[in-house]
Amino acid sequence: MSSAAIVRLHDLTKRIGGKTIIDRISLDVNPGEVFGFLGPNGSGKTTTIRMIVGLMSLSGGDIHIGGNSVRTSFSKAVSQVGAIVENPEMYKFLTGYQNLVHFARMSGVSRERIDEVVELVGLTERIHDKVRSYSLGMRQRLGVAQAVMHRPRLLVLDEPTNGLDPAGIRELRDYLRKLAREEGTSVFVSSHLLSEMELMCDRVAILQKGKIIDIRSLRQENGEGSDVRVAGEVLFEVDRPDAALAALEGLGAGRAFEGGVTVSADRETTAAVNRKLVKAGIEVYGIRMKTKSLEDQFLEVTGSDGHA
Amino acid sequence: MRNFWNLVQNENMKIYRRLATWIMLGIVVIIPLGISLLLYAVSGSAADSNWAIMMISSQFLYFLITIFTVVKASEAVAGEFTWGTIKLLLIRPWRRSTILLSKYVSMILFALFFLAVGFAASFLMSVVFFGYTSSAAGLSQTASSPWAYMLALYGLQFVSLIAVATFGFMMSSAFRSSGLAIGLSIFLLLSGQLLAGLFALADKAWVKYVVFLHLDLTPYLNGGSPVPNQETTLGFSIAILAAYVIVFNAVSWTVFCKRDVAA
Repeated sequence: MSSAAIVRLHDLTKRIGGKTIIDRISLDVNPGEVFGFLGPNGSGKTTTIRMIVGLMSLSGGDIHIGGNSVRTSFSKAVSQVGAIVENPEMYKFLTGYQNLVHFARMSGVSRERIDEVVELVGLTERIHDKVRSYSLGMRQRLGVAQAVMHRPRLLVLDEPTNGLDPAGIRELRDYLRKLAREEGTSVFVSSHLLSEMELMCDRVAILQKGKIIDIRSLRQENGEGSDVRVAGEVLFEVDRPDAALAALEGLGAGRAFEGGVTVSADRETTAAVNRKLVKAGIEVYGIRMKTKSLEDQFLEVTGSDGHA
Repeated sequence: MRNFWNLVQNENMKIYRRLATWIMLGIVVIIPLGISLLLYAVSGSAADSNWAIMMISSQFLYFLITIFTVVKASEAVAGEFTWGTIKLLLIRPWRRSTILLSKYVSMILFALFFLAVGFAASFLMSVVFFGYTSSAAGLSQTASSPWAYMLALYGLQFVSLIAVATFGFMMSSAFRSSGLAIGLSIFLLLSGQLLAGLFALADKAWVKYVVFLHLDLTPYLNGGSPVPNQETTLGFSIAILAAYVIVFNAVSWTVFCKRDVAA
């Protein structure tokens, strides 16, 4: 799997003025994968992304994109990348279309493809207006258009949802997942918005103070098993928690609290617990898994510095 | 390798799709009109040869076009940083040096275009108000053809202009601030004569290697030398300017290609 990785970071290091900003990061992103890069502000997300797209030099280690090192064959490596680094800043005095023509000339993209991409991001109506008059959402869509028009194998997005309204965020998320699914484009996206990442990504790496402290899978479909939604704690809402606890003697019952009990249980045990409670004449109002959100886990691993 | 001219085309688009550029061009046309009109009102049509009038207009235009070129040159580099578009520009499959070269080339094209318009405008306005004469008498005692004289003047001005604009280009690349780049370039342009006088006092042999003294090459047109108290040739002056231009460019290139884009 790793030999086919579209991006490979190997011992990537960045030092600025004697300070190590990025400390020997290694990770692989696979084709068609939406990979999240998560970390509090100042953890080095943007620096890493700037190194991937060639805006910053590497102090150590290497980055391979589609097998090409950004150190030795930059043009080849970066020609497979489309990116939005922070806000998509465009030439405001040009029209949206002229902006796209500008970047198309640099990547050898045909006029037909520009029209196609404009259609795709839904800017057909306004594409010949000056970018100055665009809303943030429209600029973001124009940013996506310039990033995908040369059909890159890798899309790199830095904080793409910054400043977008919920509809815009959702639109972007759906579009990215569609790209990954239908065109096999890999997406490398950074954010500090955990709930967003949870909805968008297949895998996330958690970065803190320039080091990767965890890489984990978020999708069960991948067959790797999700370790984010830790199944274990099951919460039963009941009318008499103390009686319920007594009834569950021997089933490894956990704690009672106001309005319910929690039991450490898998699928089968959950059914057994429920049966027992009903038999004991206790009213069960609800059963749900106590899942840990990515946010809980994030704060857990990043500790008190984890204010995102 | 994709076509380098695509990049130059991009740079041109960013220059000529701006209203400011066309206002500049308008000023380049209006200045000779204003000067010709003023001199006509003051002295009447018979007063002077059209070439002498064109000469006056052209000296104004030289300063103006130099400043305009510096403005565009600094905008081309520092502007990209200010606008934030540098982040989209440098992530394309092009070397940074090539991108910078395309900006430099478009700057030279801009200067040529404006000088050509300036030449045409100052010639036409002077002819409209003062009539045409084929004699060079109003310009110089030695020149045989007024056309050759004026073309030589514009050629020399172009050389100085490029030197000043390259300086602005370097400042803009080094400081990423177009204000500073424009300010210092104008200082270089205007202080040339003051500093030349200052250096003349020094009366040392090395004075002739100082760039300020070579920014005005027009004394060569009348057989003189821009360096006080010393004989220099046009070739020497151009070589000095070329040396400075190479140094300025080396600095721009080094800074632009090495810099981490963090803004």
